[in-house]
Amino acid sequence: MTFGNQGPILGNTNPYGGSSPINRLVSAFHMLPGIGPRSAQRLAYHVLRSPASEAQELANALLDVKENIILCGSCQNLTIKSPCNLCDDNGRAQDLLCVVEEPLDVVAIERTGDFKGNYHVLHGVIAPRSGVGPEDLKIDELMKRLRSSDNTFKEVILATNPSTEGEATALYLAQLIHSLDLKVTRLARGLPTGSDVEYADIDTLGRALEFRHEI
Amino acid sequence: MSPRAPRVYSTRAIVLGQREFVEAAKVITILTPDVGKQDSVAKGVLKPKSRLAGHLEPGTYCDLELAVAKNLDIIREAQTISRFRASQQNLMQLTTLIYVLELVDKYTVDGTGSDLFEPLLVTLERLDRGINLSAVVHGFELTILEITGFRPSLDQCIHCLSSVDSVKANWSQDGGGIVCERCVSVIPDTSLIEPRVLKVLRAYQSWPYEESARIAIDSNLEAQLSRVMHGLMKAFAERDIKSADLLEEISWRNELSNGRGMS
Ligand SMILES: [Zn+2]
Ligand SMILES: [Zn+2]
Repeated sequence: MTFGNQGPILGNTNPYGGSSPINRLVSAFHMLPGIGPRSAQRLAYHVLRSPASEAQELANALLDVKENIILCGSCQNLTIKSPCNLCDDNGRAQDLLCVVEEPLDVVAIERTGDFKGNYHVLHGVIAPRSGVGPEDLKIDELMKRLRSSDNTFKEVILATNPSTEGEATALYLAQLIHSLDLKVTRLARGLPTGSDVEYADIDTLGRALEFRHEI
Repeated sequence: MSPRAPRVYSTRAIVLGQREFVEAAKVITILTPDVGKQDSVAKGVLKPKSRLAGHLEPGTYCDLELAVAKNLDIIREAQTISRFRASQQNLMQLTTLIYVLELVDKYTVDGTGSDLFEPLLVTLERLDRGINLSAVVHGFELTILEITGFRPSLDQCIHCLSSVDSVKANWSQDGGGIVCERCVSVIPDTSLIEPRVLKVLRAYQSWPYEESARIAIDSNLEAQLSRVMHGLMKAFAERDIKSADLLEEISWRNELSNGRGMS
């Protein structure tokens, strides 16, 4: 199969336009974060050129994720069983809890190999401009964990991003957690302002964790 | 110069917000003294080594160099003038900062709001000092309403325009001001406004900041001022202002935990 000129097949360059199967796929890819119209086209054409078995595998994997991934009842991370492997691991420090914005931040911190405590995933930050308030995050779940009679955590590390919204979320949580008389710490400066824990290099992130300070 | 080189311009700007865009780029919403609110693109800011990222956080006052593009102009250089560090360390100040940015965002559309630039800048500077938050934030709310044509009527009845000197008055949120005794039956949804609240709002509206900042505000009065002003800001924006609710929640919890509010 050759596609020569891409124009006629898509009909128009508006990725949302038209209802042909390929336009539908382009639109679907375009809805993914970070994927612009051109990348969406490239991905769609890749799928079109690859064998049916590969496309089937992609479709299955997509559905599998939606059907089988759940949130851990304890740390709220993505998992296939609850409690997740991390929460189930008694070898991890039971007195240390690290609060992060997103599941990928857990991956990034685990990659440093420097942290042996437990996690709590907020699934976002307080971002009023985007309509996200504290009630939209896993804050109630966090406070329930900390207030529970079998809470063993003595220190809570706030590892939200060093962004305006990440700082606001950390300060908000610090106010809540202080009322429980627990030690609250924040990642050390060193992670550049506006950067993302998820993308930080291993050494910088490891150091930010090691030199965390009380707030 | 090559004829294809893009036109480039420099401007001071205050970052109002950002959202993720394609690849590692973000759309940065800025307020500038010449254009007002505008969206622009910052490429590569999600990459850890980005030169731009640290200068484009919401609430940053910066110098920018932008290249004119077909759709959104592209930020080529960014240099922080002030990040208002003190405001970043305190929950009430930081939430107030987020609130004033949201106000500017909700009260402008693209290409408007250039006349809000200086008032916003002054407000962020005062906020950073961490004192007289009540006069700072409510003064700014009243300034926004004034500039955008929604000046609340605090001395005159909104219906018959007769002047109301007495501080005992009725309040119409949707009408944006006070209602005299005679007109109260014809204006729907009025409520009594606390005399102290009206007095302070009049001062915030007409006195210079240096004077209005001297008024002593206890936490109870501040809670009432906030309730009236938040209601007004939401009513005229005709949409929710999410950080206003957050501010009220935080003040309320401050109040519970240590018996003092903002002052
Ligand atoms: Zn878990
Ligand atoms: Zn009247």
